[in-house]
Amino acid sequence: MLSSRRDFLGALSAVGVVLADPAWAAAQARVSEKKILQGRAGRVLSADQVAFVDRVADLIIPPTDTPGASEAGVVGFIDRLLAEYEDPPGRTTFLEGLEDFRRRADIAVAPSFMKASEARQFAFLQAEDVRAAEAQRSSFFVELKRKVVIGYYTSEVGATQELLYLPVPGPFQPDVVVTGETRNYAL
Amino acid sequence: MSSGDSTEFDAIVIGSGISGGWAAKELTEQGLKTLLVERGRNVEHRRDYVTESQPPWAFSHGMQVPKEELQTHWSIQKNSGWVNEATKHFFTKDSEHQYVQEKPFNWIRGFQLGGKSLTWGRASWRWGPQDFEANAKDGHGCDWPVRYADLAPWYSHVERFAGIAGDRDGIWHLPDGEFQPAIGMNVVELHIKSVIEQRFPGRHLINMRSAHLTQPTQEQITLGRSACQSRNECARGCSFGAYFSTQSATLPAALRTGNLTVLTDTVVHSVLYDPTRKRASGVRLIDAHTRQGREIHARVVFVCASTLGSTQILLNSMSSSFPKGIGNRHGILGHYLMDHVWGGGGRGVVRGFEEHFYRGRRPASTYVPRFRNIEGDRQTFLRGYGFGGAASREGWEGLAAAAGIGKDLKASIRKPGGWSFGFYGIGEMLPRYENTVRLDPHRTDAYGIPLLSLNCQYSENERLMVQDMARSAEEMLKAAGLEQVRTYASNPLDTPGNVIHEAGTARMGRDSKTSYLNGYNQCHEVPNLFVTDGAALASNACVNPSLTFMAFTARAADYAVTQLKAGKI
Repeated sequence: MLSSRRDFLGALSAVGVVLADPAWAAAQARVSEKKILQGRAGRVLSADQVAFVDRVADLIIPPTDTPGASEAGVVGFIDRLLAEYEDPPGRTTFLEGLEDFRRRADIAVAPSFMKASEARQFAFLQAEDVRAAEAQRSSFFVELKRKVVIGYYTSEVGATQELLYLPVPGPFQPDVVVTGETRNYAL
Repeated sequence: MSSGDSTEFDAIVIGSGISGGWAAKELTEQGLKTLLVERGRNVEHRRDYVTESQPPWAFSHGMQVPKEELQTHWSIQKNSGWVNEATKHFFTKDSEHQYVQEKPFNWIRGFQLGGKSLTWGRASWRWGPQDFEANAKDGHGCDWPVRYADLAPWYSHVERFAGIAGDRDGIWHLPDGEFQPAIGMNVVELHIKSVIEQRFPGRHLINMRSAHLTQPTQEQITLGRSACQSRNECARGCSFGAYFSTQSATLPAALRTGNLTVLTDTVVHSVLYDPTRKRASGVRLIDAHTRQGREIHARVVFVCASTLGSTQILLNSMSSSFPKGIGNRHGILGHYLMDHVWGGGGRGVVRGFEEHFYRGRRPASTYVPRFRNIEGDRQTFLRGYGFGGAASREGWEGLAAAAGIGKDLKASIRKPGGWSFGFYGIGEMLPRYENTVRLDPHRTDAYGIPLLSLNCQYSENERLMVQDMARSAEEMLKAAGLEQVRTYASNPLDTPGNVIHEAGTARMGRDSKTSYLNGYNQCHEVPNLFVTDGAALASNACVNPSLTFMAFTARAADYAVTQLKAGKI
């Protein structure tokens, strides 16, 4: 029906109006801050910590046919979580856990995790991951992995390149066929 | 929207949520010059849906509100699970609006134009005959002064306007309504449905009936509404007007009559009583910002400020004729507060169906209507519960929690994971006299209105019901062939208020000594005073109550107009 289509388009353009709203522009400005801190200190993480977390994140979610966690700005997301989302006890807990984890990494991948080969770095993290799964209780590595995953899959890279993001899916389709191209949804 | 200087109206409607919006629409459409008073801020359809359509990466913390901010401002609202970075601005700040918990009760509130109609869950069910008979049958609460037959035409009336998507399932105790096509079940839900309905004759798994447009009517299109686009971000506000809210539906309908005046940022202190005419004469208002007070008069007053908001106003409406609150001659006002009870359910893994997926974020789910204490079934507890639930394929969050890092982890998250299905029960809470609200004797809010003090708790019937939810969930999930079935039964029960279906405290009844309202939501003692939101309910059934608020409101408005025109009120 013409009038229903006109109203649908009206609504769609209203949604578009929201997208051009100043509040939206501010959100986009925040997004650009999430890019890689590139060797600089963050608001909470030191330059060393930034480099370490960035490396670990990129090993957990590496570049494949889509960018990895580093390019997706995950370390910036984690730094932002620490600066804005966490309360002081949460911040302290994370930073203490991070320092303890870095120490263990440097021992396991002596003399320095950051200077080791990718294969050795990956092997260390994989062992941590297996141990965490067996322990069945939370550890720093579990927390870090969770933050990396959330940071990646809610990033524009993760949501739109790795997964499928449908801003306006349309009328719900309860049954669609899975093909080789089918992706999980960002939302 | 006009905000006239007139102090004389035919009708005043207090509150602009589900009920208030309907009262404004019905009264203005009947020609009454109506003032709609809202204590909170204006929220304009589309313009003020500030987080609508923002993608995940626009939120700095993965949708979470910073911990200190959440604890400072939404320390109670956060317990509802609905408050996140995209929705927080539609939930009242507990830091700014206090109340007293004599026993724990999470009062979840939305003080803005539209109230909780912006953020509600949209599940829309008719009550069945058994719900109106329940109090009379088991003696809890007072007999309802109406029966299903009285409400049926009004359910039709509100369903047609609001737009409800659902199937005609032919279940006598969950009556069918006027529906647009149901949103739809996925292949796993259809499979589980067929197993449950075969193994448990008399039980059903149906599409949730939901206030979403799937086939908009001409009336809805004319109001600027269009069909649901499956974004499932309803609580942010929807520029498509695809779900029912005051903003999308009742407000534009009321405004186009030319009879509506809307006043936001205006708190109602009390309803005024004229002892000579023995009528409500109007309301005392307080400007939320300047704190200036004034009176506005009208011929009829509709109190639709939400269950607890309405009763707070009525209790505070004191006069020499009614020292305990307007119309409260026998002290019944404040008693018989109810919520629903939840905390029992289960889930399990479904093998197979790997070639099937769905497209879109369905804003509804499936439902197993009540099967306890129905049709010959007898339990150790009274009344019953239904199960809401859904089947889904594991998304990135669940898959990422599994073991693995690197390319393998990434590859496993890229594809939809395995299917699982789960459901959770929502059950009827019995009406009890001692579950009560009153005005705090010492503390007032910023407007000089006494704080509302809540004293409400669950009891043994609710505890037994939740345990049964877990048992029957296990039985059905295992019968449906699910694996790794896990059930749960909260012990102790969750804090009341979290289901956000609070009702009662100004109940309807036949006897003016034991009820506040008659069968037309009309105050026994004050015939031009109507209460049509959840406060009016004498019992609470086990289904989401909002459609019933709508039906009672429309019916009461029709009655009030008839009475007004006949010179009777």
